Amino acid sequence: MNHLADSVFELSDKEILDEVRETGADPQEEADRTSFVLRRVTDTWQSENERLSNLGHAINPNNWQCIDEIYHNYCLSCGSSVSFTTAMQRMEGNALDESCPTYEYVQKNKVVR
Amino acid sequence: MAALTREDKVRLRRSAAYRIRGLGRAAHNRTADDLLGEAQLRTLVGAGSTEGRHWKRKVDFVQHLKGAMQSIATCWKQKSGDKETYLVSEVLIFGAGGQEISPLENVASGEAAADQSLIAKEEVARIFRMFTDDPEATQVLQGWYDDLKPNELRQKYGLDEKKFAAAKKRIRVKLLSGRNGDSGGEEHGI
Repeated sequence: MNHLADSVFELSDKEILDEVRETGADPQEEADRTSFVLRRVTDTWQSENERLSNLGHAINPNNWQCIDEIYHNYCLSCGSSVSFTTAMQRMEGNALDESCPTYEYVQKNKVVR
Repeated sequence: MAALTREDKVRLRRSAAYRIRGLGRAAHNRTADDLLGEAQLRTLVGAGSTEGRHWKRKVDFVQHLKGAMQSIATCWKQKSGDKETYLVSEVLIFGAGGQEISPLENVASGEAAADQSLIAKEEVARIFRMFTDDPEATQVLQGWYDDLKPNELRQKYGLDEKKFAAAKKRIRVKLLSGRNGDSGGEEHGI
């Protein structure tokens, strides 16, 4: 299907819009759906990384590894695991269960001092 | 992402829909949204990792997502593997008199390859069947199936630019008419 799927990129702006209408679809709806999908994945990825960060986990963005379409990583401080897929739309794993113990220890020591 | 025009977004979605259509059973109920989302996720992961798909900023973002979707669809197809292969007998259609007909046998040009052994995929056969009354569309499908370059395809079947473009359009419109392109198909040379 490569040739077929690629052929839409040969079309001018007018041609692609006309063609979509010809199939009975609304170009604006299709464009909005694309925006929604791309934004949802981006927002989820960012908010879930923020959640990890707020829990004190140190995640190296270079360490994500994809195994069977699931992205895996781990906290550099405590070793807790975290995983993410588009299907789940959220991160899962030990790292999300609790704050990073190492981070908590450092924070407590800061307060004591 | 904000730089994408409405037309870019439509092209990306349509392209995703055709790829899902082409995956057939290998899509495992994944949709065009799933393919687009996976391409975007790989881009985000690739932004800070050796995994994922690195977006070289010199490359247009549309072209980047197009490439990512192609790679992901190929990966999904490969993972599906031989389990998705069908017997030639499964893809034969039957004429009015009950005779067996290969989906490629209705191609007008005598040069069209009709090697039944190549038609091992159900969705490809289904797509060919949709165009049995459209010789030019069948020739274009055959050329795509054989992975011919546009000029090779046009030369082989004697199609001028206008006829070639019109046939491609008929294929695209018919394949996604009255649907959003989210149902399955099967990845192949087409």
